[in-house]
Formats: sequence, structure tokens, C-alpha cells
Amino acid sequence: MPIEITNLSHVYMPDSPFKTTAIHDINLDVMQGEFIGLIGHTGSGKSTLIQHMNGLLKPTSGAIFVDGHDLTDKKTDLRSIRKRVGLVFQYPEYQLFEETVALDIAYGPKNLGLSQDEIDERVSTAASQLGLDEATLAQSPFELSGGQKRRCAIAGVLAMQPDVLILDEPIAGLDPRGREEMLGLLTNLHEQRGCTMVMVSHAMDDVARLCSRILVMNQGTLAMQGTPDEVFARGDELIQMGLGLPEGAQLARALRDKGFDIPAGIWKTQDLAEALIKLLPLKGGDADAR
Amino acid sequence: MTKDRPIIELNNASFHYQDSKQIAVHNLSLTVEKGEFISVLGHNGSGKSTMAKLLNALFLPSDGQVLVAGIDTAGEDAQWDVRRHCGMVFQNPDNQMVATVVEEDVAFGLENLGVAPSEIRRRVDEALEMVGMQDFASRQPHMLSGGQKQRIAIAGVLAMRPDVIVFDEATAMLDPSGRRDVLQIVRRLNKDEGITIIWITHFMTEATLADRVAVMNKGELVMQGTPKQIFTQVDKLDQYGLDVPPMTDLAKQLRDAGMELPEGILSVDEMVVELCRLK
Repeated sequence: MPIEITNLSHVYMPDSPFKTTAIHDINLDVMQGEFIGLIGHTGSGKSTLIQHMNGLLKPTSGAIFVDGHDLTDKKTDLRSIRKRVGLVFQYPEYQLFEETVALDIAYGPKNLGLSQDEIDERVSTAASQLGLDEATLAQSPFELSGGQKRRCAIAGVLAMQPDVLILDEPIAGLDPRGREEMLGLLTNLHEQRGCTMVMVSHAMDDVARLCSRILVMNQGTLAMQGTPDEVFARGDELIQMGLGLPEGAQLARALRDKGFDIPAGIWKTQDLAEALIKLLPLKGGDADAR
Repeated sequence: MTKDRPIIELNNASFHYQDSKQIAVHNLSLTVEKGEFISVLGHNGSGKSTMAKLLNALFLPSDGQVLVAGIDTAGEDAQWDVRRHCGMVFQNPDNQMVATVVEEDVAFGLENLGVAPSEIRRRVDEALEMVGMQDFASRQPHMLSGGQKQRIAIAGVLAMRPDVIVFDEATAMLDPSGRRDVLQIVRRLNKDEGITIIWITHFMTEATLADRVAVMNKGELVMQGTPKQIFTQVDKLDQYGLDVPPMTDLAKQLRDAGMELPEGILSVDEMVVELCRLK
């Protein structure tokens, strides 16, 4: 199991007036090859949680194991952990700094002390996995579009060849086309590279489409988890946590209140359309259909 | 009653960045009436943000004319006047915080104008109250959530008492509840205070709330009309790289299957009403 978290708590600025318990008593296993969606409103502890997964934050109490290595153990080599668990921050494009895209992607591998050939190989693989072509590699990262910049930043993490890729809001601020592109690329990374993925997102519809399991955080605790269908069936609780539902789930909920017989777990537009077509009369009626 | 002069007038305005042959906005003509809530859609690179920057003299048109409250933005010393009439809220709340205390941040613009301290106090308090952040006056901005920071940024603009506020993807970095809060405040400012709103967004559902929607593509204004008029043109929107709201999409699927639903369903509420009618 790549990541195992037991009774994890984290308190920011303890012994100060600003003391805040960011996460409390989290228990979580991330399985090999999973695509996990992590949702929760701002301040619910999502970012704090993921920063524990590669040892950027140390727990106040509890433990994190990555491939069996205890991250709280002083003897654990965190550098090797961070090679295996890649973390892409929110708005990673703000961290681009090199002269060219290729150099920026190469920054991590170079610090691993790899040979130039190996570095070049990794840069070109990572770039192609994120749909950045040769011409782009030679450009300055600051000349790229927003979506390209973000892909460049993610390629930099990917060049470390992590087994687990954690992404904090990878599609925030992208336009519909950029969002689709990014989601397509992430799906490919998961399916073709076999990366274990953890994606933090507010975009419920997208989380639901990609992820096999959704974790819902609320006020620093893990409040809910399950398949998208299971989670969206609990719409009332999600709304109480200040989370929006996908519009399809909102509609299903409203229609059930009006006495429509919409089965639980239905929220996708396609499924809703099918359910509604069965329930409601169509033009001309059935008698005229034949 | 004579009609007021439009608060914003873009007359064949064009703009291209230096060192770039590409034209960022081309021959843009758009008028916005006082008190209107207009939403501007378009994918990245369509020129939305460039247009926004033309509206408060951050950019001056390379061709054509931009008038804000009747003032030509390219006029000599016009920019400060223009910015007093037309405030702007950007996407990233972190880039807009200049002070280490919330109320000082809100007061920043006024201090630069040399407004009397007692007047500053009054306007800052008023602005913070309008965005529901009065209890946070002496807090540190970096301790606030994204939505709260964005409300502070709005307060900073409100303290300048503008006629128009341009929001350039102001909710893109917020979570659903932050987005809801900000939208609610913006709608109230529009309805109760009569502030003209120009709302640039990627979120179709947000655009449905506007009085009028303008769609930009490759630097040009390609569509404008009421949300219903715009979002019923599914194919055209698709061509410009834009989605339709999920309910509009569902309505189309149901109509294609032979269900008698009217065109122009945009929201969950409207969908519920129409489906109940069929039941």
C-alpha cells in the first residue's frame, strides 16, 4: 500500500493565540493505482493533509507510512520519499523560474545527480506525457499560456518519476477547454503510467468523472468517503458542509422532493436523461410511436 | 426622462501588446448602461482580460476609444479619474493584498487620494460592512480564506465609491462557498447600490445570473444577448470553446428524445418547474 495514515492530527501555531487544529484524527489508506478525489471547503484541511503525504509537514500526532516507511521516524530519508510521492501545489505555474521549459522540467532530476542523458530522457518523456512539444521545450516558460505553464510545472514533478502523484486543484482557474485537456492528461497518466493519483478539487463534476473514490473533508476530519455515486447520494450532508453538488445531483434531489421516482446514486446528465425519459411522456405518446 | 449616458462605451477599440504582432482585442464596440450586470465569457486568450484592463486605463487602446463615465481613458491625466469611476477585482486575491491589516488594506486607495482620516474611517467601515467583513477589520489578510480575501479586495474597491466594478474571474480561485458568498455580495451591490457590474467568468452558471452576456473569441465580440438568447445557441458556443450550463445540456438531450421542453432552460429550478408540468 503506497500510503497509510493513522490517527493523524496537525495543529498550526500551537502555544499561540492563533493555534488552529487543521486536521484531526485522520485514518486513511491510499491503495496502489487508485485515483482518489479529495474534496472539502476551504479550511477543511485538504492541503494540510496532502502535505503530510510526502513529509513536508510533520504531524502533531499520528503516523504516515509511505511504502512501509514511517515518515515520523528521523531515520527515514525524506528525499527518497519525495521522489516517490510527487506533490503538485496549487497554481504550480507560479513556481516556474528557469530560462526554458526544458530547463525548468530538468531542475528536479538535475538535483538528483543524474547523468545528462538520463535527465534529457526524463525531460522529454515528462514533456510528451503532458503534451508539450519540442518547440515548446525551447521556449521561456513565461511566454506560455496559463494552461501550458501549468502542464510545464506538472511535467517538472513528473520528471522525478513518482509512483504517487498528488495534485492540489490542478484545474482551478483554467477555462473549459484547458480543464478538459488537463483532465484528459491526468487520466492518461493514471491509466498508462499506472500512477496512483490523489486530486484535490472543488469541481465536483470533474472529481466524480475521474475518481474511483471520493474523500470528503470537513472541519479537519474525514467526514465521508465512497464512490462518487455513494457520496452524491448523501447530498443533504454535503450541502451542510458548505459543498456544492453537481447540478445533476441537485436536480435529482429536487425532483425526488416533488415525488419523481429517481433512483439513488443517479446524478450524471446522461443517467438523468435516461431516468426521465422512462418517467415522462414523450411527444405523440407511446401509442403513436408505432 | 432622458436616458443617462452609458457608463461604459467602447468604440472600435483595439489593443495589441508590444513586441507582439497578435492583436489582443480587435475593433471592440460595446456599451454598458448604468446599473447593468453584464457577464463576459470566452476561453483563455479570447481577450476578456485585455478588455477589462482597457476599462480602467491599465491599458490604453491602440486604436479606437474607451469612455468610462464619459471620460476618454486616453485623455491626459484621465487615468486616476477613470479608476475612481471603475474599480477592478482580479482573480488572485493574494496579489491584491497590500497591507498587513485588513482595514489598512481597504484604506489603501483612499490614503493615496489624500482623503481626510475621519472620512477614510467612515468609508472603510461602510465598505467592510457591505461585504460582511466588519468583524475582520483588525485581522491579518493572510489568515483569511480565499473568499474572505476576495471580499476584502471588493471592500477596497467599494471604499473608492466606483460606479462600475469589473471582476476578472474573481471567483476562479475560490471554493464553492466562497464563490457563493462573493456572487451574493456582487448581486446585492448591483441591485441595492446600483453599481454596474462587469463579470468576466469561465463559469456558465454564473453567467446565467447576468442581465446580458457578451461572448468573446479571438479578441472580438462575437455574441451578445440575454442569457437565454446566448445559451440556446449550443453549437455556436461549442465552436468558441465554451460549454452550455449542465441543465441546458440535459434539456437538449430530453428534447432530442422527444420530450416537450421549451428552449432556454438554464437553471435547476427552471428544469424542475418544466418537468413538473409534464408529469
